[in-house]
Amino acid sequence: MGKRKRDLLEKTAEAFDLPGDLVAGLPRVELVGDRELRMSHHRGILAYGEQEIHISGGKLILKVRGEGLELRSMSAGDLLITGQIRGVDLE
Amino acid sequence: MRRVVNFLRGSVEVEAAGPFPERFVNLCAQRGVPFWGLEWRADGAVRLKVPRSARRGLEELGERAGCTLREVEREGVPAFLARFRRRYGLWVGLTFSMLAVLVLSHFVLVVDVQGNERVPTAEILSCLRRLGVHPGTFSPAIDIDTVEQEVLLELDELTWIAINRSGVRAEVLVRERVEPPEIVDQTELGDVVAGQAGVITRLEVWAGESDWQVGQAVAKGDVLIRGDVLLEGPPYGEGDVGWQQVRAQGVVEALTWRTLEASIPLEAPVKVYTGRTRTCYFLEWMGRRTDVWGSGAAPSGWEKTSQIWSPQLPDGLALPFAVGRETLREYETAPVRVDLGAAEELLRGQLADALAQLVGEGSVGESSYTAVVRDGNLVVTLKAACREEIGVFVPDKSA
Repeated sequence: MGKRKRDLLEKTAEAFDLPGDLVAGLPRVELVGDRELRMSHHRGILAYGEQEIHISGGKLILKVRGEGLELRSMSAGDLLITGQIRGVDLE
Repeated sequence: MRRVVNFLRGSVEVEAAGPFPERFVNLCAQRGVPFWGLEWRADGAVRLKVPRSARRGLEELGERAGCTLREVEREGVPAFLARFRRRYGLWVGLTFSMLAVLVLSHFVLVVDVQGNERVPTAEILSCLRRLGVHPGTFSPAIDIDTVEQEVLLELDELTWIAINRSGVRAEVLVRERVEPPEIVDQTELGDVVAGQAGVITRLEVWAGESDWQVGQAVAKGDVLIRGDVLLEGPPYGEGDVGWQQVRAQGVVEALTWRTLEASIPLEAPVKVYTGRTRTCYFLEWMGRRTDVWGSGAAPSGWEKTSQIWSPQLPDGLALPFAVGRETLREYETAPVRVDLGAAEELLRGQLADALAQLVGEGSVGESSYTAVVRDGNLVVTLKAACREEIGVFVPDKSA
């Protein structure tokens, strides 16, 4: 999918109040308490460690900070991170 | 649960080293290769565990990600079993064990007889052996119904038998014949006479009439209770109605004196070993004997003693395998004078047993023993005062 097409779909979803993760394939991050983080539509792992995991979300990079972080499961579209999550940053 | 599944199907820990090891992880996720235990190493490499079945496809992914793969460790059941791949002795032993279980479970190894009290177990086992049921018999070949019928025909004392095959064990359940109660034939008429001389101590007449009283002495053969009953006529009548014959019944206990005698020769032949011995070793497998060394046949004048070693399971089940040794010793007989004290003791015991059998439910009072040597024999005499039932029914043959 081209960048222009992706931008168009993103704006369309925003204009028509449609879910962006379904229409434009935008990454969806779900935090369950401070021990579990689920992410859909990711683009892959960029860096991995017990205290910090970097995940590509396409236009943005998700940085998960914490202690004892572990990539519990990962597939082409979804991943699950467990551990003591201290913070989530977007770049 | 997931750990158990991973343990059962086996897992491989691999280390991917290269400029971009995260690409390798992402490729694994894209290709649907399940992985866990991800660990980023200080040297930039990444370690992860994958199922054993997914190990082969990792090489291609490693090449695409520009990483070199190194297998760190194999875990789980398949890896554990793979350690024994070259232990041929173990596989041979396992194969033999499996074959032994599969084959031997079709043979009878133990015949267990239960439920018998009077009929000896050895007699039942011997009968079953004649009919083809013994350790070593091929279980499916046993015609149980026929064998059960044949055993009942051969052993009259048995009224019911069931043969159950339980693995290698043939359980033989039997029920013995119940003796019918003694039925007194009331139509048989007769008297009760004294079977032994003595002094009456108790007299109970149930049927018939008696002329005796307690304290009187009777001789052997005296009629104690008559089977004739006088039917008296009515008061002020002209006479009695007549006599009625019945079966005389009652209890007549008396004080009796019994004398029993037993003897034993003063010289008895005993074995004197010449010193010549022979030994035979044999194997027994499923009831069949094979002589390994020597012959176990004992000619006349040779005494044979056997020793058998048979392995047993912890529950006491003897396996149908035994090793035996038979020792044959030649002997000659020579007369030896018996020990008088021991011989007298032996005879005393025999006389006491015989007296107890004669008295039955009665009791033995004072008794004395005398021992004399007469005509080359030791003769022991027992004199005893007894209290016993002396009445014996004698049918009236003229009736």
